[in-house]
Amino acid sequence: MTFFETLHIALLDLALHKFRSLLAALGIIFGVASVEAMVSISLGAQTAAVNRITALGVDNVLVRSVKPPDTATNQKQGDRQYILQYGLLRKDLDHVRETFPVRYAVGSRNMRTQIYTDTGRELDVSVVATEPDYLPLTRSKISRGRFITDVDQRTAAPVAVLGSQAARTIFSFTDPIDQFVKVETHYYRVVGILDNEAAVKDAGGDDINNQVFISMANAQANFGDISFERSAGASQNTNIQLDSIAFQVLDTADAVPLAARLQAYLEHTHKQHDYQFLVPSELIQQKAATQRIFTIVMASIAGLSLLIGGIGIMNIMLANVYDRRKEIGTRRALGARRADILAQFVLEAAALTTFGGLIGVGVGYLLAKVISTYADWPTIISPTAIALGLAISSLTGILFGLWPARQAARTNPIEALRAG
Amino acid sequence: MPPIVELNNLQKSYPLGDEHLPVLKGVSLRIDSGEYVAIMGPSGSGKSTLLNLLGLLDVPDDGDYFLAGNNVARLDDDLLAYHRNIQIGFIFQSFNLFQQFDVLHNIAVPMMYAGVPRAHARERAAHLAGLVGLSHRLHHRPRQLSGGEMQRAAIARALANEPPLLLADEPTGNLDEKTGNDIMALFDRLVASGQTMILVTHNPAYQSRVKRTLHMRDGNLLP
Repeated sequence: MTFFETLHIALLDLALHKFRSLLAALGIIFGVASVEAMVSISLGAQTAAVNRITALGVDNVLVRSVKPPDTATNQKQGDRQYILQYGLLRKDLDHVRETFPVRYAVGSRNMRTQIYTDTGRELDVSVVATEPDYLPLTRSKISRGRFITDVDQRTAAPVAVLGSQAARTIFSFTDPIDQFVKVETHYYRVVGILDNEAAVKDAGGDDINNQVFISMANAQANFGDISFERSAGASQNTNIQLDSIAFQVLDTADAVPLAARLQAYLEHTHKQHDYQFLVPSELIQQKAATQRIFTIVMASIAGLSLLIGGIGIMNIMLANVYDRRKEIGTRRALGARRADILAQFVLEAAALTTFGGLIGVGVGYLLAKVISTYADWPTIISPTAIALGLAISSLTGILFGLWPARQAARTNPIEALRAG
Repeated sequence: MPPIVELNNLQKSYPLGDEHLPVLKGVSLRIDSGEYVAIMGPSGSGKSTLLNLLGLLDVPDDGDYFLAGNNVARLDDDLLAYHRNIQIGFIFQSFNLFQQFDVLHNIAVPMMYAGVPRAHARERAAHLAGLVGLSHRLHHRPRQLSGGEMQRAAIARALANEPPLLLADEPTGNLDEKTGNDIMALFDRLVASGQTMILVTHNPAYQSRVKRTLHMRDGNLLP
């Protein structure tokens, strides 16, 4: 008896008991479906996370100024003209530029001010002072005009570059180039539009498409280092030289050690812990570690559900073998060897679970689609996961079909023929 | 030409508690090619055991069984299956057709086990169906057939590999008298064409049709 003949017989028998077969395969169907859905969701989430981190640049290191804990500043509360002073310093940036092997090193300053429409409505864009190298460091594109140049920087020129989103917010349908943006009492001529396709929020940074960029030199000339902030009824003068220092290393492998080196330098030179590191390549490593744990947990769940599915199959197949003793006896009388009977029942179990796996992959696909539609989670359908799901479901059938098939093969033909 | 069946002092006993219950107490028998033989006897006389041994579903404790010249008394399980497949055709009281297959496929099953190519097996199955008068039922499932038709399909299946020996166990026991007579007539035709056949039965109607009747009592063939 050939393999295909045996398979054909197995399928015919499954077709004879459609409902029973479906019930038997249910465990496998749901097992594979949940695995497929989970893999799609986790893969989607992972890819999205990695994309967000990669958008920051894996060869970049970002240090941001953070307000130190209250305890460090409380002592100064008695001062009448109190100015909160913290954050990264220009000399820190100079130190990086002079002693670190970097491609670019850029300081940025958030101006902590708003832009208003002519009618006085506050717009949701932020004003950032930065340097020419900010453009290549963030891998942003200039879609129109130009970015801030060294000449702007030297002359402290009153020019601004708008992020694509900020341009839409401020100018709506007007062409922003050569228009003027008013920041507090100063006017800036728009010279270019910046666009960063990879930029996304929640990457630990702001959406750079929603910012207005001015030159660092101009910011210092026009606004100095002190910002006046009002929040929740309290006002606060803050003296910050730089809100962030970002640098790009020559070799990605240097990112983590150079970040550590800068951290050591800052710990040594700053009295308070007023900075925070963001190292994308480190984040990716951490992400990979969490992913490993998640994969192990998921594999355990998958294994468990397939085990339960497999036991269900074994149960059904044992009943099946008992029900069909007479058929087994007849086959033996007609010349089937034990191996033929074994192959028949193993193949039947495998066909059942593979069929269950096929449905499970389909259901899992739909489940992933539904989840990504309604929960707005990114999902990725991986061909490897589908192939693996099918392979494992077939294997489950073979494994759990083996014992019942052995029972069938060992049935004494005389007793089997006597069975009703 | 050797006899189809030659039994020499065949013995078989079954364990019953601590003891062995002898069921066949040394049966010797010779059946030549083309013979039509009925084995009769009361329940418990050992005729079913004899049929199982003749059909290679079981092996004797002692004695020899020459089937078409080969000693088959001490073969292993796989070889027994092989000889059952090509040397013996079984016909059962309750037909034992496969419910999941149509008539054609049912008839082809022994050929599948013999490794006959599918196309050839189907062709021969169709021919055999014609031989037993089932040409119009090739693609019917067993449950769509009458009892007589089911037994005809089973007979065609038994003939699939042209076995030298047909074994039938109460082949008309589940059929009404008229249908039973039709089946008996079919057997007569097969025997007339040279087929060797042994049947176990209680039905005295066979006695007028078979050429030889063997009677069994308490594990022995009556002379």
